[in-house]
Amino acid sequence: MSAIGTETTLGQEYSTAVPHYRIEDAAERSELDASTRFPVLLYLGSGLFWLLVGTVFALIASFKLHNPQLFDGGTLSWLAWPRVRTAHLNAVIYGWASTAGIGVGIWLIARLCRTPLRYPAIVIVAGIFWNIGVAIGITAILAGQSTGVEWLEFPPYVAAILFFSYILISIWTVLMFYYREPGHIYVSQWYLLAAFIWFPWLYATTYLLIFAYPVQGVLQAITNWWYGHNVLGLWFTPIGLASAYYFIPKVIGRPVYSYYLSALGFWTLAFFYAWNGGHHLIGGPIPLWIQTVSIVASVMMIIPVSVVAINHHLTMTGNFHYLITSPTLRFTVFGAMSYTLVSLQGMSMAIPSLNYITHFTHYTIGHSHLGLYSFYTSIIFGAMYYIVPRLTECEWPSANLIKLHFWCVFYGSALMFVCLSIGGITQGTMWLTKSGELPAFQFIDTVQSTIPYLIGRSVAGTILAIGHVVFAYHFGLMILRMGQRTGQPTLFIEPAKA
Amino acid sequence: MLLPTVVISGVMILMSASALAALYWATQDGQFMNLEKGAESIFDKDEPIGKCTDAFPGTSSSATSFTNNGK
Amino acid sequence: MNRLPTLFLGFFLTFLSAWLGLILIPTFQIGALKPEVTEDGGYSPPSPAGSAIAGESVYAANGCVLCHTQQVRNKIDTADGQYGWGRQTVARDYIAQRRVFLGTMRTGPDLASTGASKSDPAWHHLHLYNPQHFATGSLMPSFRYLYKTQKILGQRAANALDVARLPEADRPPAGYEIVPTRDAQDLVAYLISLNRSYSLKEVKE
Repeated sequence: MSAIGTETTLGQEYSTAVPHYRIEDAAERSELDASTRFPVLLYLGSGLFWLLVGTVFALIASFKLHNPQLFDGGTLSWLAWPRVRTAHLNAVIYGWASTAGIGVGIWLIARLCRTPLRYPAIVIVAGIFWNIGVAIGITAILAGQSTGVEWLEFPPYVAAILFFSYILISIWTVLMFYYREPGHIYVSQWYLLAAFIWFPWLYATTYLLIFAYPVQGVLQAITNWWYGHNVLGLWFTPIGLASAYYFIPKVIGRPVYSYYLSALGFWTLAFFYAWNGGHHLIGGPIPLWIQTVSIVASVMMIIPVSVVAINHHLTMTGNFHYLITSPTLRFTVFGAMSYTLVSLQGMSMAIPSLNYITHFTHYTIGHSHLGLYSFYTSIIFGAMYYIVPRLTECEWPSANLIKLHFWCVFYGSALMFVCLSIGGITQGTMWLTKSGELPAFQFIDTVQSTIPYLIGRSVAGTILAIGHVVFAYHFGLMILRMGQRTGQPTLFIEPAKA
Repeated sequence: MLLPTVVISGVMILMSASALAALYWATQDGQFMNLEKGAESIFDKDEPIGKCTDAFPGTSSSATSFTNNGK
Repeated sequence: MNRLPTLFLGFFLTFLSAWLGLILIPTFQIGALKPEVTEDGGYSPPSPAGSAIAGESVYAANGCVLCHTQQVRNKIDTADGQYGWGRQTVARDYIAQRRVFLGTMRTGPDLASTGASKSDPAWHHLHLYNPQHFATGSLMPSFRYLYKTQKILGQRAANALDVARLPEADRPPAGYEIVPTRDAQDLVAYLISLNRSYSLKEVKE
């Protein structure tokens, strides 16, 4: 193996004396990446497809909300607002976010286990069944078979298909782990192991407890939100953080500031997150101690959240100029900052005095988009910008399209957050306003007051949609050039010089 | 009532036990020793510490970041 | 690290406790709830009957829970006492329902006790057909796909909508009537069954 380029930009000598590292050079790294090509692109590509589908549903739902007569005026059952909104939610959660997240996770696991992808058939079959499940599920929802349980609207037979895929991915993860090169297990791997191995069991348990052997009364709601919060804490957050913990240091060429802190952050996340679920039901007909405990746990999240924030910030210090030159870093850092914001916001929303204003309002929807879009989706976009060229062996054709995508994401999500937050606070405070003993506003007035903000949200959604179409088009260009070297500099494969 | 209880308890115990086992294994395997080296494990000879590995396409830093294949 | 066994025991218990707390203990607490027996031998809360049970599925499939809650919080700290939604709801109120729809958004009003103030099926059908006409300024979508327009054969159907109360544009041509489908009837029966006016000893009002 010839020695290729040991120069560094800072003149530091890379130490070859450390025994941990199996990847020695770019050629081996690219062989590893190449082994993941088809499965990862399958997941990323199908995820992007569902993002577009989910965006279409989102726009229809958003415009229909402030203009109920739009399109069909209620005559078409499959265009009914609740069904379209539900189809949006499931398309973006299970179709886009989960699928693309698994794709990123597969690529990261191969890299971090430092072994070419083993048993690709397992993940490919899982991916095909996953897509089939989501497609059937979305169709079922539009056809009127939604279960009506939030985040679990797919009928049980669809959940069984998804669960089957989840299990295959878990098995594959364990196999990769078994075949990994010995040595250090990077923090991102811990997060991905947690997500890919634990989450399926939560999924299955929830379906059993709500649908197969239904628990009584409000237990269904408690189980629902135990699950709902675990989707965030044990599925999406770990995948997003795994990605951020890898790409931020990798792009800027500097190790994570405090690796000890990142280990601490992982375990405290695992311990505290599971208790949070009750905060979706504050004030509701559930035992008071569950509500109290969930408020405490929500505030305790300050530990893992600040750990992540401090770590990323101190890693980035002195390197913020890379945000100008690196697409991956831009999206990932925007995502990581949004993670801190949405977590702090979430903690504040669990405090009863704020909760009494914001509960049941659009403020909650602003919060959920700050989390799943500004945090998670941005990070996945960033990861895709890094991964796809290394799989297709060609460069992104247009820097301008990347920048356009980023600014659509940035401004679109910021506008959505601002509109829904103000709209929600307006709703909540109007409800609480009294004139003497009587309410100052009729309920219908509070509904009407949200309309300008709902229109603002539709505008924001349109901006996001533009970004998605641009990205999908750009991604398509990359796929079509797959395997073709077009005379542009090849980037990541450095052949042995004779 | 019995079945949900058994199911939940079973899943809980399995997952907690696996978390426990993972933590135990990690300690035995020496994962928590020399944590600083762990942070460096994502770098290698061609993407060492100090080198930026991502840039906008077509920029000059992009051209210098990646070795031309000479074709 | 020679206190490993103790440390791991500590971690194990911490992790396990979250699961115990959120799922297992409430299962016993709430799972054991039974309805109160009233003086005349009935149940508080009463069990829903017939069509109302089927209506739960229609409510679920058509996503009503996305805009309507069915939980009334305490009236001192929150605004829930302002709009005539009935008393505060407690866990026992939901044990007779097969599916529980507490809800998380109030784009529309709370429905926990909607059957108490709106017990006329005719109003419900008309409102579902054209929400804006019966609640000006409402953002509720029309559910007219749950209704069919059919030719009047001999006599008008008993549950046909009173089209005189609908705006001109919605009225069917002469000789036709609008009737609710099975789903619409079940849904309305379910909505009317949502009524918290029975008494519960644990609720002081």
